[in-house]
Amino acid sequence: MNTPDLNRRLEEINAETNASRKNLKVAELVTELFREIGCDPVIVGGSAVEFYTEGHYVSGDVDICQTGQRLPTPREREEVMSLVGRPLGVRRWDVCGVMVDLLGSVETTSTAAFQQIGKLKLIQIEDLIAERILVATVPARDENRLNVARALLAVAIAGEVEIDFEELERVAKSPDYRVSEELHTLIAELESRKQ
Amino acid sequence: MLTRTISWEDWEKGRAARRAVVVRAIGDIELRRPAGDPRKDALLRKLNNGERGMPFEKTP
Repeated sequence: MNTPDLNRRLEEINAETNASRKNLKVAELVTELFREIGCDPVIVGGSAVEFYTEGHYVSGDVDICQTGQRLPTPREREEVMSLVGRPLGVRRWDVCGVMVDLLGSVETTSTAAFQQIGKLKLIQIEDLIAERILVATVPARDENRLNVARALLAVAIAGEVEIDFEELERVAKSPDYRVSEELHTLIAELESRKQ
Repeated sequence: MLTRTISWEDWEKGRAARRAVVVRAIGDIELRRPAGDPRKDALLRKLNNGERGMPFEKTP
């Protein structure tokens, strides 16, 4: 990406007033820059939840992992990110007011394809739901955290986000998560609210 | 519907519908979380003259 293009994108992001869209644009720009050096970033965590559930979970940061064999070296991380933001610490940058965390290889139990918005890859919703149920129930039940899982499940059940329920069941049941019972309870709860 | 691969335009189009579904399911509550740990934020600002990071100049 040449400097005028990069500056134009940064201006556009700075002018964006919707927090959710701004996060998405920052994630997209960072993704593109890392693709230029042969990496393949994936958005995980709260920002992925936000993009699936539409602003009900406006995450303060964007968590980016890498998929595939090619990971950026520490030097590449610094050089790429210095084009768009300022460092806030190890692996963390401020890009137009959005905090970007560059993590390592993506951890996912799902074998489904990554969801994609434009050029942006998102962690599979099947894995995200299982992960959110796990962190909401272990070591203790946390209703606020469980609401995140409910929100993700709700958009999937309503058909607003494509999901493979068999894959979700497999991921939830897997030794990585073991949250199958909690998943069934949440689905039953949401189905009953629909009636 | 947000299929496995969608365009920006389709993501935009589906925003209201996704929001409506979430409101029906859990109510009109924002599931916000702070950007990072507030204690770390305070520490960073204390260490960097009110800024979150060290003075920074782009590498030429």
